[in-house]
Amino acid sequence: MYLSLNWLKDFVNIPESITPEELGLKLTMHTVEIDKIKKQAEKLDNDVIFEVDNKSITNRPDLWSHYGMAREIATFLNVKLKQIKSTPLPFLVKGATKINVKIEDFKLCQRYMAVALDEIKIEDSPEWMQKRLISVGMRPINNIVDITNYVMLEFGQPTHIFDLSKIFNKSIIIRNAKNNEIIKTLDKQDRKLDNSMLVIADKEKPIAIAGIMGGVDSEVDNSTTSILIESANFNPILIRKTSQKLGLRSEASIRFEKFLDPNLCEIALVRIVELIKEFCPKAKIISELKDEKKYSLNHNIIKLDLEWVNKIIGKKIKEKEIIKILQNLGFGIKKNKNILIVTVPSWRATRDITIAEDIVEEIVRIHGYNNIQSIMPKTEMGNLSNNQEHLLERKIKNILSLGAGLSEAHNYSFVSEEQINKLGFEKSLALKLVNPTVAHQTMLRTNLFMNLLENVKCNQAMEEVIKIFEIGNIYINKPGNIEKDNKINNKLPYQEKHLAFVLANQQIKTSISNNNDLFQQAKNIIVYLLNYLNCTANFVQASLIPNWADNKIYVNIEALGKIIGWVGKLSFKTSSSLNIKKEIVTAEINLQELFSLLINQPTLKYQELPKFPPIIRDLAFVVDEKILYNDIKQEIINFNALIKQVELFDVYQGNKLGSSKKNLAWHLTYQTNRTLTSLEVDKIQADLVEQLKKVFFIQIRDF
Amino acid sequence: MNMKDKLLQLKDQVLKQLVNTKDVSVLRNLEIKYLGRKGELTKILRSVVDMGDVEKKDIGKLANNIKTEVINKFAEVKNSILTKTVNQSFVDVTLPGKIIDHGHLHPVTQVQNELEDLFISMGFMVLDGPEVESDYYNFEALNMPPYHPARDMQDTFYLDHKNKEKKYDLVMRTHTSNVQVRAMQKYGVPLRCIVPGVVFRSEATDACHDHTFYQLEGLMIDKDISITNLIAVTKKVLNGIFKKEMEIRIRPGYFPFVEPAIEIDIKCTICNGKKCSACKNSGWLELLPAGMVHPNVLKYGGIDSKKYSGFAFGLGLTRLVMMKYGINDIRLFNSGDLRFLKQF
Ligand SMILES: [Zn+2]
Repeated sequence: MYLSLNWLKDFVNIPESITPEELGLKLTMHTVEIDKIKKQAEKLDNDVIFEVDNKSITNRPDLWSHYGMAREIATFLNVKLKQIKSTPLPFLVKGATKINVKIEDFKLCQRYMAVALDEIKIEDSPEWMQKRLISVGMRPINNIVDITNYVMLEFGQPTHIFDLSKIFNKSIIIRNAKNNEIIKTLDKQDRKLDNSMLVIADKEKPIAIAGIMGGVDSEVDNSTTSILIESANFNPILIRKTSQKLGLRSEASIRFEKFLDPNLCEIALVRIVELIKEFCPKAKIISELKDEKKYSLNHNIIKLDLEWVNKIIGKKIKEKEIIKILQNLGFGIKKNKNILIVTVPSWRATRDITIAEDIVEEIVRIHGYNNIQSIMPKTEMGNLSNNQEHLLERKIKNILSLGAGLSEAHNYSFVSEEQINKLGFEKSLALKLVNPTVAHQTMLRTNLFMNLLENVKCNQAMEEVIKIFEIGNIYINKPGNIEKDNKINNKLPYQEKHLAFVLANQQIKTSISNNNDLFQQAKNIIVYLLNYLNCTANFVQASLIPNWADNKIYVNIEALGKIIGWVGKLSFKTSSSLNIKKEIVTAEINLQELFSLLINQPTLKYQELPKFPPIIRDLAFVVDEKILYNDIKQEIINFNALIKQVELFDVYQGNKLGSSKKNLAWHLTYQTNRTLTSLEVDKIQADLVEQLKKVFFIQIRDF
Repeated sequence: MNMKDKLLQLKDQVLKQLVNTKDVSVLRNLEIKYLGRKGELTKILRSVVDMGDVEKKDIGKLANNIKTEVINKFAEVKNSILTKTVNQSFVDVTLPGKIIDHGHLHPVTQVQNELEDLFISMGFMVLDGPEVESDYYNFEALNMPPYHPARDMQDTFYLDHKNKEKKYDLVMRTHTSNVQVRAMQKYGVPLRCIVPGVVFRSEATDACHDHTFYQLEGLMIDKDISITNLIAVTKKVLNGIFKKEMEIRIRPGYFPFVEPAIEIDIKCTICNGKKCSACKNSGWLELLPAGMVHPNVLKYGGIDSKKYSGFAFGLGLTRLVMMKYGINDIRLFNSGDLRFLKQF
């Protein structure tokens, strides 16, 4: 909204010593932020324009006008505000043209004032009015339209003027629209209405969408001579819903939806008639004044305990100053001991000010926040319940970045349908946005690595090796376990924190790349991470391998007996469909799951140092490549209780071994609570070899 | 040759060879030849064990003396060779250290960690909250019933999910304030918590706007909490973040869930108050909307507003990170561009 300094000066005497910049700053500091101050040209009377962001005055219907702003200025400058005299309209009694106004539902329209005038001459409005309108960004049209705009900007009350001759039978009904009823609005658009909307209609047709826009059929044009002025108050929620449904917002609807003061109807109507008479001296009122209304102004009475006010502010503000501030803003004050009985003025009473805290704000903002000192709160020391999961998350980020050398990325929570399709995910599991801002971000991610692949794409031309991780939420279109609202058994969609990382390296040369290095690196990172968190990682075969993965190189991650994630290599097919030119291994871990495993783990306890030394023996053998490490390891560890640790230290595959064979080399640690002899250990190991020969057909090689 | 002569001859031989040795590896070979496990001198010393008592005493002593002498000579020669070698080759002491490759934490994470530590030191808990949120916790319980005009202040992403009244009732949270009432319900009073996290607005993106960014919500509820307390705590935090006394200004704001509502601006970190484009020529940067928790919100949280009062604030975390590092394009944060990420 734009405010003209010249216009404000109609209502308040601003001392010459205050520059426009100073005034703008004061408005910012006491009322609402002034975004910009613009000086107008000489032909616009050297006016100064203050710009206010509409969003910052949604709570203040009274500030959508020059008079309302002038009241604020008068208050913080502590100068006089020009009072608006409401001279009653000279009503016609004899020989009046009869007009009818009928409100069907006063809940939707609590007041409708109307009056008819004749001998109107449509022409340009006077130069002074045109200048003011142009100054605040409004295009002059003709004297009648300009007057309605002018009065709206002056007092904040939107009004509408109809051509009286175009209203059938001079009768007006304020009623709900009929379903599929059509009206052509002033912007020349056909608007299809429904019965949730409110229209101004004559007996035949709607002539305006109430509070939003008039219709073309009843428009004032150059041949108009008689008019009907509407000054009304419509239900703000109805206006808001209708304007959202129609996608039609106007200067009028923006104001009506802010809960306007119904008393304004009268002030605006009087002012309009006054201006019309000034511009068209021959014009005369030809009807009685219609004022259909049913409302009780909620003149809130708020009891204000001054001691409480000081306590909430934390500073004592003098009673005299408090009373002065409130009176300048239009509040009525009565005193009863230490209690102020405050009456809220009608322009603040519709919704804005209802409780004592609202009054505190009025006092403290005019007093000035910067005149309040700061004092740290005095509170008891509470129980500090630190958020274990959050601490773990921070730890994990540090391990991955500083320890494992990965860089942390943040990605949007959104993905495209195409991404989901290309990777073969279940689309029905993804939540969908109703109003996405771009076409490639329409769904919510169901995993993290989908967007990490995009990161690889963005970096692949510049970076040879890419190592990126992300921690963030995934979202599933199924009820989760977080309460949704105040109703029992309503749950928000499933959302949980995940960790994913991606490793990418050199160009893929052939369709069957045998290079498992990246896969091994990824597993190393997982083992490193979990070791750091005091638990061991196992890799167990997955029963189901997702579409996007290379079906030979994909495995589940197990920690503390639970599957917490997977690690896998992107298949060549997937890579090329995504235009990825590097070999990629990616892993994803359900952090929520991992957190709960870790938090429920008993705390680490010191182990007594072993009194007897271990004996370490190496063991190497050749075995069929399809026999799994996990199975062999299990067999060894279960073979004898003296075998305390089994560590695989080398895997070799090569032509020397013959096809589909691998050589595995192990360190076995034998230990117990007495001194072991070599003889004893040799015997166990020999038996173990026999056992492994039986179970896995291993061969001991001679090197 | 008797044993004695043999020993003396061996000694002469060793010492003579040592004089001509200029190389460490040659020296090492000599050491093995004479003093090693199967070395010549070692062999003789070993054979002493099998001699008769008289001979043993005599020869044994001599042999040991010779061994000591030879060992000392070896050490001496080795020392002089090493000294010479070092003196000969020049060491470029300015050669660089080898870079140990490490990863990088996202700049938002780094600043967030710093802030968390600051608040934890003042006794605040760190909480998380849902990012897909109900209309109820994102708006209604924050004193923004349906069709409240203040809902316009935040462009909202709605999810394709309707309630029984056929209305969209799920949103991407527009602020971390969605956790306010959840925290009150879960932890009661007194309450001191912060909620760092990502929030969403359905806006078109450009260098200054993104539909996804980070906030850090703060909430403190206790007996006798006042506006002066709010100002003091936020000042402490700003000083902590910027590690110097920050100049601030406080002006009225509007958020339906606080009353009174304020905006805390800091003196523009770019122009230092002299007015520039970054501060829209005001000399100030909007950083911290705040206010006293509205009694209606306390009521939704099950807290008696007659006994308790509190304050809340919502720090623009992403904005703060941009200020701190001088980042001029907000879209970099979610770009995954390693050239950006590796700078932090
Ligand atoms: Zn600046």
